[in-house]
Amino acid sequence: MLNKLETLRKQRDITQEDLAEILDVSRQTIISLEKGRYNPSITLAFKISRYFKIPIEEIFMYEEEDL
Amino acid sequence: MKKSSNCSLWILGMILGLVLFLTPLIMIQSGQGSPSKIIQIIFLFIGCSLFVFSLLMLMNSQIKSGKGAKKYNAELKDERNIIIRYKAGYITNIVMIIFLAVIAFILLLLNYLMPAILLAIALILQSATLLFLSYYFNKRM
Repeated sequence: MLNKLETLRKQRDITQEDLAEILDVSRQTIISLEKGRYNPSITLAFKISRYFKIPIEEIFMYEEEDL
Repeated sequence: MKKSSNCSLWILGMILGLVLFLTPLIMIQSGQGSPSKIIQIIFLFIGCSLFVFSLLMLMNSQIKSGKGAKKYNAELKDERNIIIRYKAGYITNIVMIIFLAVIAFILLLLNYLMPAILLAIALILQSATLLFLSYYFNKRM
């Protein structure tokens, strides 16, 4: 699953550490999310969506291959 | 004050555990007559358990206090870390089952029947528990 997390974070000018603290996850999780190695749970996806005030589907791009 | 007294308690537990662990060994070395096997095993078991328990409690109290507490809690509750722990635990479990089965087989070949049987029973119980819990959580979630 592709995502725009890194772009959105850089637009807001916040560090991975800060975002991790806001979302209550580890910095390593943010790194893995940005690199597309890890797909978030629905709860974390909602938290990200609410923080950036953007719908989930605009942050995470679902691909058929993800099945 | 309370934290410091807790630390002292765990350090005391570690020292006591070490003393209990070393007592039968020192008695044998100093020639004061070796204690019976059962007493040796009891001392070693209690000493070892007390030492490990106190050490873990001391580490836990150190981690949960001070600056690292918030970071520790975040790391502990982090969903990715939880998945990693589940995966690592699952793979470790499978590897240990295979490893213990090999040991049971070797014991059987060496004619150590009782240890082999006990190990086989433990393995069967472990596998049965795994299946039972999987079924239980399958129905609950």
